[in-house]
Amino acid sequence: MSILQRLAESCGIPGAVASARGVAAAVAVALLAACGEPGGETKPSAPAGAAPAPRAVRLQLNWMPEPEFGGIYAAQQDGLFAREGLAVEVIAGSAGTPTAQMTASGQVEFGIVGGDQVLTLREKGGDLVGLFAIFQTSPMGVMVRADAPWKSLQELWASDATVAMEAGLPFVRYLNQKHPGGKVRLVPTGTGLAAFEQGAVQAQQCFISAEPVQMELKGIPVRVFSLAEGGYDPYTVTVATGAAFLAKDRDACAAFVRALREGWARYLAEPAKYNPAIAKLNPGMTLAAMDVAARKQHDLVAPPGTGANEVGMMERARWETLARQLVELGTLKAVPPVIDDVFWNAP
Amino acid sequence: MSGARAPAPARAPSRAPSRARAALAAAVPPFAVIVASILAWQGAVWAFRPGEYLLPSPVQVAEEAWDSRATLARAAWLTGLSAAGGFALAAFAGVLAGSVLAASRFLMRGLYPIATLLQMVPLVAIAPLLVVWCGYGWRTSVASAAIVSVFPVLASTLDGMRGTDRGLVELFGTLHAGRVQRWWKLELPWALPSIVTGLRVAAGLSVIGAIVGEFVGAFAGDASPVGIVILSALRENRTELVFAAVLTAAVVGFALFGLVSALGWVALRRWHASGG
Amino acid sequence: MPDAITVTGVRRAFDDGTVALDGATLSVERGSVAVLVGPSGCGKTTLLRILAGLDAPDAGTASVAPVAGEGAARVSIAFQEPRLLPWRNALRNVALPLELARVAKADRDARAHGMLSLVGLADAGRKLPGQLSGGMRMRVAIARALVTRPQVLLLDEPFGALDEITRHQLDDLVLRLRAELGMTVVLVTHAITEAAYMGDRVFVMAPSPGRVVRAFEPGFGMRDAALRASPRFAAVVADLTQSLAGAMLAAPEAGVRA
Ligand SMILES: Nc1ncnc2c1ncn2[C@@H]1O[C@H](COP(=O)(O)OP(=O)(O)O)[C@@H](O)[C@H]1O
Ligand SMILES: [Mg+2]
Repeated sequence: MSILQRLAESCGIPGAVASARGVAAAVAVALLAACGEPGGETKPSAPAGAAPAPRAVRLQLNWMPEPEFGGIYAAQQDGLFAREGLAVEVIAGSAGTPTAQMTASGQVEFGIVGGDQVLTLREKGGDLVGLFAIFQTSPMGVMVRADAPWKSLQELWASDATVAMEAGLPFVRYLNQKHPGGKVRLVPTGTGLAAFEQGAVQAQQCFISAEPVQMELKGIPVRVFSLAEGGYDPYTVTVATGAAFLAKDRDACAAFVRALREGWARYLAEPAKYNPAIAKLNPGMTLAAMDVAARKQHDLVAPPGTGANEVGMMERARWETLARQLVELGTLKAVPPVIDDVFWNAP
Repeated sequence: MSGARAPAPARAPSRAPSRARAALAAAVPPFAVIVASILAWQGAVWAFRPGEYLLPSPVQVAEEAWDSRATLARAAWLTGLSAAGGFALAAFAGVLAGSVLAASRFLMRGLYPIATLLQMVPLVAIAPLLVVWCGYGWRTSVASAAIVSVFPVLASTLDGMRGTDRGLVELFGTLHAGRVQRWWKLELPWALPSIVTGLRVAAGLSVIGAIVGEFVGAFAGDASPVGIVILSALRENRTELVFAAVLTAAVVGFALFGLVSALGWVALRRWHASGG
Repeated sequence: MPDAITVTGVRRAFDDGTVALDGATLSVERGSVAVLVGPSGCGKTTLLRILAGLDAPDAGTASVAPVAGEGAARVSIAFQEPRLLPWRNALRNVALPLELARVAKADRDARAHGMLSLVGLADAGRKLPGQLSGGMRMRVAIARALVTRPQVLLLDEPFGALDEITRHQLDDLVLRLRAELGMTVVLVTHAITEAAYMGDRVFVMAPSPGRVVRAFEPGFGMRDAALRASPRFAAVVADLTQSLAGAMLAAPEAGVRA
């Protein structure tokens, strides 16, 4: 759930609200799932052949509309979902939205989840399947002020700096394990960027393409340590679905992914065409910041050499590496016996 | 909860067994409700099979609580300290503020509505500010605990003092008591039963307040308070640990509540109906 | 003996228009027992409160003279109800006036204990008011009123709520204490026999507006059980009854005239 903490940082919404909501939402989901039929399973499939009515599906985001979801909004804006016979409702989320649980239980057909969540939830009976990895390189990072004394994550970790970082996230465990004996003091990110701006925290977890941009635009120069470069590189922003829905409606899933791929190709090529619509949905981030963010994230979504139809594709080896890392971190009990069940690259 | 209160002290030792029996009898209904709830919960998990990731069974929660007992015990201790600290602050400030308001009709008219409004400001909305003001660490959780629990104390103090028997106030007047004497020797003890009620409410709230403070401002590490354990467990999808931590918080709250009730009972049992 | 209390033409009208007293006049000799008797609502309590300094007349004067050589008279009042602090035991209730006057603890405890003995409660000092009977509570209240050694003791229907035997005991107690401590006592009652028994002087009051309509001097020296059964006692009671009945009858007329 690498996105969770970011709400507070870029929008200033108190993490405590989000956390409290998270607990409430998780309980609500549990009750709904326990008491009612999952919504996705009651939907009749469109009859094959005849001109079908568009198939209504929902995509639950785990964050506000931002460039990290650019391809989704591009597909929406250009009618790519409709062309595939889908009527997609994109639902904005917040830090506490339990997207993984909602998706696994079928309350929404598609949800944005962290790669680590796909694995951990599966171990608890929530059969998520990854369909589309928005970032080929994880955008997770740790930012410090440009004039901070630390030259690496290792140096930072050995210091007694106060670091705004959500305990429980696998990458925090990863850093603790990689840099043992660290003296950093971890605090929640619920105060938003204010604590970082004021210097109450000296380092802050971030999306490389988001918070640092906001800081630079505010005139605060920062440096960012990439976690991917540091060796922890999961599919951080993954579109997932429930195994049951995939089994029943493989065609719809494939159509959805096709539209996404095309949407992302278009967004990568011309983000400025789509950002105004996204900015309208999210008053918390300026259009200028979105344009910069889109530029910064380009190579993380599509590293140089990525073919247009390779955006979002996932590799077995990457999932396996993540599973092994999570087992080492104690977050996962065992590497899934069949890694291929964990994700599905639509043709 | 008052059903669990111990009966009046018996004067003759021969009555002790019946007292014990009465205490036992008082404990039966809540105990039965708890057992029934757990059974219903387990039954629902068996019947609907929502999946461990949505709703763990009581057995899974119990297993997790046992496996994580060291973590939870430390968390309970840390959160309990913050809650107790915040509660103590709130008790002191609440009684003092309530007394001041009770002493002056003008202040009461002017400030009490504002105090009531403050009470309605959602704590979660100001919790991030607390971090800015108090810094990271225990100060924020203590402040947060104090903020949620101060109002019931203030209100109950004000209420109790304003209800001071007019006849006794007049008596103190004929005895030429000073204002402070009247407060300390008459109004405060008179309001004590009401204050104790407010303190009991505050004791439960203080734990919630401490946890909200921890959500935004506590240090995470080898020894994390309940709020951090809940946050981490949520992020790790360890639903059963979330439940175990929430139950731990409830235990801490109940312990504080029980402690305050017991102290109140000791203070009041001899002369006030609510003490017996 | 000079007068300890002088009330001249006192008027007290409350904000709601009730005239509790108008033209009330009386005087009480030092060391004597004065009784105010009258139907309820005739201003007895109001007059007593004025004497205690809890209220002030709108017109006329009411004064309590200090004994020679002292600044202000020490006045104690015991109310209709005991008004004890429920969380304090009997001893600490009695010691309260001394405590408020910052008398040292050892001293005030000794004096409070002495007073409790005087009212016959030497063994009940550690009991809380809730553990005492109504009569015992009233004795504690009187001990508290006496602990400051007042020169004037004001009693507002102190024994009205008690059974007759207890009331007789407490009446005798008051007379004895008066003699031992040399106080002036003003006793308010609506019981005619009590008025006849206790009063060196008995003032009959009438309502609307409250005023003194007659003063008696029963003239009993020794008071005891035999007196209560004697014909002269019966005669005073009959006299009092008659003039009280008159006071009641006079009431509406007086009201019209006022
Ligand atoms: N504070 C007050 N405000 C208005 N009326 C009062 C007040 N106190 C007494 N009274 C009225 O004054 C009259 C005399 O009262 P009180 O002195 O208590 O009579 P008593 O003691 O003889 O029964 C009554 O009519 C009573 O209702
Ligand atoms: Mg009266």
